[in-house]
Amino acid sequence: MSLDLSQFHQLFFEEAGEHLQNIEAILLRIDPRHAAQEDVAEIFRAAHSIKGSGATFGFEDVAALMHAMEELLDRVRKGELPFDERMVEAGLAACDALRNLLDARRGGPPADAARAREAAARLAALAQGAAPSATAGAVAGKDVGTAWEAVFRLARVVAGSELLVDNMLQELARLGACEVLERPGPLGGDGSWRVRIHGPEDEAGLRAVLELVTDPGELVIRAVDAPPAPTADETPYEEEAEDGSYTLFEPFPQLPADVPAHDEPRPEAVDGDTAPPQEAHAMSRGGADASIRVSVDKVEELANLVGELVITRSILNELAGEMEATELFDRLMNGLGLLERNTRELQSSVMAIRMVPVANVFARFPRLVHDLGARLGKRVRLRLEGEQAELDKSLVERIVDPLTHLVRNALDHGIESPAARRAAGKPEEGELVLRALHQGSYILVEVEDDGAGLSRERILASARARGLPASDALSDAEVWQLIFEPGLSTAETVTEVSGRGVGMDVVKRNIAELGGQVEIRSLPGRGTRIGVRLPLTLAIADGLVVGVGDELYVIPLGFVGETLQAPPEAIGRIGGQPRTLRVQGDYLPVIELGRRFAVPGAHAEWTEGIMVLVEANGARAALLVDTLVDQRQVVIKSLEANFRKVAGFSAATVLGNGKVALILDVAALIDGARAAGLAA
Amino acid sequence: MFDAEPAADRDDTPSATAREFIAFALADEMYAVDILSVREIRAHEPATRIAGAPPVVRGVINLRGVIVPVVDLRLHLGLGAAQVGPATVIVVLQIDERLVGVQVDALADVVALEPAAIRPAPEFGAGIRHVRGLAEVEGQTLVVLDIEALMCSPELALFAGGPERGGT
Repeated sequence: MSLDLSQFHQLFFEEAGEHLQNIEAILLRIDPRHAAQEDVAEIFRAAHSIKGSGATFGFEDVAALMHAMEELLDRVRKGELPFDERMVEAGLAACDALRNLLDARRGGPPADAARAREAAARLAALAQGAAPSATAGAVAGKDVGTAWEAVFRLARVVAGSELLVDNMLQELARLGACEVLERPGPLGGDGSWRVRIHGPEDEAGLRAVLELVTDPGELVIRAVDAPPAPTADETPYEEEAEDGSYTLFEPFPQLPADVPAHDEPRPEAVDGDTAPPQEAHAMSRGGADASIRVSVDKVEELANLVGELVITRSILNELAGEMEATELFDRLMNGLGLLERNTRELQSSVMAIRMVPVANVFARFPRLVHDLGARLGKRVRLRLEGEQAELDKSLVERIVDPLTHLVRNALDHGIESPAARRAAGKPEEGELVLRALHQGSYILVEVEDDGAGLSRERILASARARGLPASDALSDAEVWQLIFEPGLSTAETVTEVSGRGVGMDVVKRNIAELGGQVEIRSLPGRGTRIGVRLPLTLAIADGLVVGVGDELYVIPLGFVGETLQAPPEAIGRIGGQPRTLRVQGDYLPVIELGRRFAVPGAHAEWTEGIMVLVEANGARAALLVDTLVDQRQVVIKSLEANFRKVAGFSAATVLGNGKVALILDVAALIDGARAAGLAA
Repeated sequence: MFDAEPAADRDDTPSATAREFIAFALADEMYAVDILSVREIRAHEPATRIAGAPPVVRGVINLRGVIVPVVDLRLHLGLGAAQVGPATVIVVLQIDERLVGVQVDALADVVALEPAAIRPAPEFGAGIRHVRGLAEVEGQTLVVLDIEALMCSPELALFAGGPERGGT
């Protein structure tokens, strides 16, 4: 699939720019000795987001840098490291480096790769500074520039043998300084290893050693940005390195010569330099912004004001109608006609600002899936459905992150390796489906994989390990909801891809902020489907305005098939009562809106009214209305903001005369009619 | 309409403890609500009926693009259904973060009441609740409503509580 990702770069730059500013702002205001947990978590999330989308677009340097920041903050977040002043400095240096990388991608000065590596190394050094495992890394290799990280699962026969495991570790140590970052608990445990090797120039040697002990497809090796070897005696700054664990960072490159570098390496130390060079804040990047970002609130306010304007105009029209016909009157009417045209154009412009097809969201995923699949050694086919469904721009922006998390999770934890799939009798190539569809008052975006499904036991165990109340009696649905708890990860390994337990709680929070829900269905061995349901609060829909008695209702046009007047012979009577409408050989239930909503003065006779044929979720029905009034774009307004959900209605809208009209929840009406039909 | 407090009873200037209330008429009775919960007053406009809502909910109106329910306070207090006259207004209240309109027959005045001036109401029978107390202003009895409690009362079913939790 050839796909031009560059059209989305602007979005990425804007997002990354915002996150970057956010990180910087926090770093600048944070009190290192009393860093608020929230601030740390916020930086962590921002770094995580930039890393994620950076990786999506193939900006490896950006991802690597943010990975380092994330690693560091993750340890701080978990309380494994105290936050200190040096982290602020290293963080700000990383911000500068990141800005440089981003600017370079936008046609600014060329990227300074060394600077980025340096910044990442500094962060990594801090992250390892107090790490209990850091001392284990007696790095022998001279060339610390290359490092490889291998994630693999041992073949069962090897995993069960202490001798073979030891042998493997010896082999690895021969290649270079070897750090075991993760290993399955007990001997023979079935889990992933993560090993970092400093030294070897290429991965061939590493691969040769590991391929002997792993099953095919269970080995992933990649280059990592090597932090400087975590040993004191290798660094040229020996006097600072005297004191063990806190000295593993490099001096600040931008430090003026007369400021002494860290003589006092304790965390409480207050560094001589206070702030990074402010050149970083110079926002003069001419011509970079062909678009501006405007908050949804402003657009919404604009839409509301235009609505008010339309109403005001109709009031003027009414007043003018009462005037006597004079020459002045003619001129007034001309002016009003002009006003009407202009307001209508203004209205459609405002509406148009907000609507974009879901394809805009989906288009970033083919590349992500491709790259991730390759990196994880998995074969995945991506299928996109419903890309043409239109979505409020504000929703698009806000579901990108959650969806990215979901897709990553599906690839990382859902879809199995080709070997495992073969063993399970499935095709080696997994399938991932991204699907969007309108459903009543919601838009539903689904991420579906045909992978291993969620593991009930693992989720429960992980929840208990975090002290969450998790009884075995919980239903599956309740267990699945547990994965939204902060910090809960069922991944056995923390990879660059996922498994830190950061994703799902963020997903849930983001969706909840939009007033939506996340639904999970999962079958062991069959796959997982995660549906994001968002209310159409901000959306605009085409609607059919119909009259029922004295009242007006709006039927979303997406559900409407056709409208017709029922010929008497098409009406099926049972026991003398009209029961069904026969259309093209189908017998449809008829929902008499007048009766359903107890509207005074509504027609009851089927042949007198108009039948609006609707379809939702594959079920069809006819709605009996009195008149067809208009077909128009309506702004969907939440009924729930100040009221509550009302059965049969998905939302409300404001018509041109300023009156509120209710929008029908067609799917619910059809369901209700079918239920009633079954009961009858 | 009322002037300020009768000077004979109290100080000339309302003290710091006095709170302001908006007084309005329903049938031939006078009621009052805390002015702090009043967001704005609007001329009467017909509301859009909501099928299935309780009768006291007259419907919803468009408040500058926001959909706001309107409650018939007369009906709720057992004074018969609202009758729309030239003085009928909708008092838009803000309760927590939500807006709700209350249709009343006529607006009276803003009155300042000392806490002590609001006497506890005797125990009424069932059905009369959410009365904070009674006050007398210019010889007329003013029923001070606990409007927040009233609007949140379950029989109005105005708010569904929080958004429904996920996990179906």
